[in-house]
Amino acid sequence: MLLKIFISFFKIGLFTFGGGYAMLPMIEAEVVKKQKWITEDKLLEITGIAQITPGVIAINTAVYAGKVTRGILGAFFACVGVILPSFLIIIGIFLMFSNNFSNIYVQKAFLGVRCAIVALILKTVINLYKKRVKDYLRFFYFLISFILLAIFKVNPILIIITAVISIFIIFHLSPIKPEYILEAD
Amino acid sequence: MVYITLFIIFFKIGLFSFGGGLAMLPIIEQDMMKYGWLNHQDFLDIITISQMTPGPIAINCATFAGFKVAGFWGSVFATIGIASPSIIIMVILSAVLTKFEKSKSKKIFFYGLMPVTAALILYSAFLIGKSTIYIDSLINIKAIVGIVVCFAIINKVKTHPIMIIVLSASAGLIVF
Repeated sequence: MLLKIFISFFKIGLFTFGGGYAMLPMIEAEVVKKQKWITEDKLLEITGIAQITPGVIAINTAVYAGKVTRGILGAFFACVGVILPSFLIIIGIFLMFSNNFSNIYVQKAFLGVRCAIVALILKTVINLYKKRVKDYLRFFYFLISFILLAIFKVNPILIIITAVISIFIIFHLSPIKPEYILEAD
Repeated sequence: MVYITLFIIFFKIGLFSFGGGLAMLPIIEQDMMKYGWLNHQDFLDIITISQMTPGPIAINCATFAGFKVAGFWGSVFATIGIASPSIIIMVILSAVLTKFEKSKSKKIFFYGLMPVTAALILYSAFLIGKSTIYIDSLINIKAIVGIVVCFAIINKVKTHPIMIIVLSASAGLIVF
């Protein structure tokens, strides 16, 4: 089981290009759909928490997912699995190339990969949106967050903190019973 | 000993990084230059490689910088250093969070957080898309088509992301 966790996360680590969020589609395909170790909902929660906590998002996500699957050992194997591919590749690059990074073929292939990454992340966002942005209030949060990010370049952590504090205030002051809103999904 | 120093420096970096790998880069550069271990050109190399190799940028950076400074073991200590805060924090946090599993507070928390998460992820797609489509202020139509085609394939056919990545890398070689 631990070996399976390692292998799955090794695959994930090997094919995640472009940072933490690009890892999401990979984890979803491998861990949620193929191995069925965690549910999609749980993965969304893990992602949310991983964003807020310090540290590399990708590692946070892998560790949490590993822990949920098989405890601390699972967390450890997931983490090592995810880190190892890039570690080995970089060491390999050093030993073999030294400075040959601007190879034209590599550039072209990577451009292709980036297109795929954009498409994959978009699909993930759409799934997330459909599942978790189902009323006007949440749409408002989504829209404002995006505007703050894209146009005003506000620090994501600031946005998250504001969102969390404000949502608790809203629910506290809301005349409608919170349960009604929360269970409406 | 340089290995311990590397570990501590990258542990610190890992602990105080919010907002993703790219945000960490300036901090890493500052620290590396402070100790006189790397110069600016080294750092540009690091950024290039970190973006091209798979895996989180921050990890790649740590591995690369560690290697440049102190060889194989340097990269080991630096990599473990940057990953350690995540492991420790997430293990503790996940234990703490199970206490809140069915609570109302948790539902409210995620109710507010998830839309923001969606926005953040969308924004990251937006950034990567921008760097793919705009090269030297010119719009790369093929890249736009590439993204659309990939998106269409993902939606119509049940494929594993890894397959898409391999295919798009090959397609990239031919098309671009």
